[in-house]
Amino acid sequence: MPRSSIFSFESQPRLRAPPWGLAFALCLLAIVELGLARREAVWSHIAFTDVGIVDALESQVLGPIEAEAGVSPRVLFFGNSRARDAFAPRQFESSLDLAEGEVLNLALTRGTAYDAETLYRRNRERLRHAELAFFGVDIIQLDGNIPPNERVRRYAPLGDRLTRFSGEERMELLAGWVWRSYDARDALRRWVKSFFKDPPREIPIAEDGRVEWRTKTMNRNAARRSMSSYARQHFAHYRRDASRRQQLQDFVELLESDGIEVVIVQVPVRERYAGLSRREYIEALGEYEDDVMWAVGDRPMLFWWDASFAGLRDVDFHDYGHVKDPGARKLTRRLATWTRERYGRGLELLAPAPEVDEADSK
Amino acid sequence: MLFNSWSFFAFFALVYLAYVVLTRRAQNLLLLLASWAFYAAWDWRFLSLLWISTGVDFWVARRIEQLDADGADERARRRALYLSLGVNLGILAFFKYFGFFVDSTVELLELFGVQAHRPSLEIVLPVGISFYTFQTMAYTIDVYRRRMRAVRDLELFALYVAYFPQLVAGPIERPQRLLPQLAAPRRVEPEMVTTGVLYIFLGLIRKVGIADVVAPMVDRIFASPQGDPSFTLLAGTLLFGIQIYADFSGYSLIARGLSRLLGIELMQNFRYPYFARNITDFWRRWHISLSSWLRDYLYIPLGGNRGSRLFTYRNLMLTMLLGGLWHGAAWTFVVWGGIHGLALALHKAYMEWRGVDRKAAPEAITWRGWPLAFASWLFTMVVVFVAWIFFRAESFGDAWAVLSGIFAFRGGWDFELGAWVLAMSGWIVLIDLPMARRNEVEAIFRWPFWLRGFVYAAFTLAALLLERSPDAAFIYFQF
Repeated sequence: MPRSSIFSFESQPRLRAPPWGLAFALCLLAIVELGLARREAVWSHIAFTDVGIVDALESQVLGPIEAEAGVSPRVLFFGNSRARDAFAPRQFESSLDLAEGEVLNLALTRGTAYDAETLYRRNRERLRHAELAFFGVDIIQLDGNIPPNERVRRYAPLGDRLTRFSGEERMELLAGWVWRSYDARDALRRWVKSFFKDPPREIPIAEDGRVEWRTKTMNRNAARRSMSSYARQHFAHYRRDASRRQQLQDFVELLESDGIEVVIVQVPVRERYAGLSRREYIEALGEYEDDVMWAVGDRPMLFWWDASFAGLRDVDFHDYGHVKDPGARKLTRRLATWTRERYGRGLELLAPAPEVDEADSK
Repeated sequence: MLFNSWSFFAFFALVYLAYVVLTRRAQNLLLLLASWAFYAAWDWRFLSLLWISTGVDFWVARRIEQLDADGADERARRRALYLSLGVNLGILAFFKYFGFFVDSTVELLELFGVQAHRPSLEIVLPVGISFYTFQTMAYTIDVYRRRMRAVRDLELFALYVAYFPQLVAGPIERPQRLLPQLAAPRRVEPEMVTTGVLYIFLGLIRKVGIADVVAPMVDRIFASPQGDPSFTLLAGTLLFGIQIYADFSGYSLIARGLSRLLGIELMQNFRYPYFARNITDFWRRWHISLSSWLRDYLYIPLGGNRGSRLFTYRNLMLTMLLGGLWHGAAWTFVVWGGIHGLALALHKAYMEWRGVDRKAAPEAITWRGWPLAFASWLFTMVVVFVAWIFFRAESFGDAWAVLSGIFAFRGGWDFELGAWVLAMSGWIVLIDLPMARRNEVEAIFRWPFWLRGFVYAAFTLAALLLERSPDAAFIYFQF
């Protein structure tokens, strides 16, 4: 049977009219694409969003540094919301006799290694002279089930979309690169909403230098959830993903190529959550640890899984792993002590690095 | 690989490009391999079940025909049929109902004070198993009933079982309808391409723009319904009715659209069910491929209406109870089926009492008849939506909390939720009404081009911009 017989266009009368409806729809969609979705303005400065926290850090934390001559960041914190809440820069500075502005907490809500790399690359000139970076690692960052967030959709170039993400994500990110309205769907929705209700434009920065993201409602809702539901959410379907591991390794290597010493920190979790993870999800926990080890290699790592490692108690947490202010003070003190012992009070021992204390590192 | 994922889009584009350049024989091989790859993308291990079903039913049908030719007695033919039913229902029972039966037995024993050991066997439910099992059983039963000849081409039969546009959530196609289409050379008319694309578009809008948008609200309400205001519970129930309709009819429409592009016509699975004015009419419009399957392979073999009234009501009830159980291994689904069975029996009794043919389509509405027609529609919807509560709830406790909570008239308004109910039902009506009037999706082609274009663009943007549940699978995949 000749292949042309599959379709009968040749033997049938042609479509009576061109698909004008479709053409008209495409014109309307093109107007939205070119007039809105491809314009920077649609993404800009709405606080408490994945992209908004990047804007806030760049304008409210990194911006003032540039204005103040003579201050250059020496210690950087990266990670996700747990690292964002856990490490207080001003306290860390005073513990190590560093000047104000020399320690920055650049951890992002829902932040992954790829997000941290994006933020670093965007501000590389400002940050490349840092000497020490802590990356707060978390199971959520390495779980292949967690889709790329809005930061990836806003900032990732085509090359990254094709090579640094896997499978379905790659397809979706490629589609978003071609059809920017798809990438910018959340931003477009916020843009539409902003006509009805003016959104917040800035995120408050606390006196201790941490981003103040959490609201009372968030804390109340977080406290209501059981540890078992958190553990189930994080471990029950944990999916190893080579691209996530690779992103963490790439970020660490990028910092090292700029001469920055990198320390991986596992921000502690509540005792009950830690116990559940070991009792009920030991396999997933093991896989996660292996993934971190693979990405980090023999670099210094503080795997403080149990809260007791850092002297934290249940009351120091909002939920399974986000610390309250007293918890942040304890954790920052603990990390500052470790840093002082390892690198000296003013980081004067930073290079060459001594061996890691066995008791502290896993 | 969901129909609304970009990877499926790429998968289908690749398959389609190859499809159009191949001959019919090679097309079937391509479709078969693509179907298996599509299924393996969920879980490759369960391909073996698909192959077992395929192999057993192919062989059994041939065997039944051979026995016929040899003049064997009816018992031998029946034994062959039982083998097919045993294997298919055995697979279904083990993978879908094993845990349910064990739990129910243990709970029953515990009621009598007997402590029973609950085996800790975690069985994963293979996606689409209920659909393809029913499809293969329909084939063997039809060969047994001498309604069709057994297929001699294994590749053709394997494609009938695994055809990917309808593999995981139907429509459950009949062999007399699908097999000849797969066997014959395909002719794709231009209209099939344009309507195929339209079906896919409207299906995606239903799934992405409606079902996935209301899903998080429904999940939130049904997660802990105890003590919620009556309005919230009522809104949650209405939204679930919208969600399941948009989700499943969206899937079916995409499946039909994809198939049309391949030159194969699948059956209509939904015919605007929320416009039904009685429960019998509802079941002629909702999940048509399942309801007709249950009628032909369960209700009629049980005796149908060939007996006393009570006998007929019993058959209706049994059919709907098993139909409920088909949806999921939980007593809440059985109750859902029971409510529908009872409603169908009552409607049948009412129509017999009035001396009206129940099977006749509802009369056209006259001006005088509007109030009655409206009351009839409202009553039907109350029954359907009350039943949805049991379908959606995780447990009887939750179902009762929702049902009693609605009628407890607890105060508390949620205007945003109310607005969502209005907006989403409005959208459903907007999509369905013009098509329902003529019972054809293509009604939209008669609109002026600017209105059509505006609707396409507006629907696309609305689906894009509405906040929705990420990566929400189609509800019927779990069945």
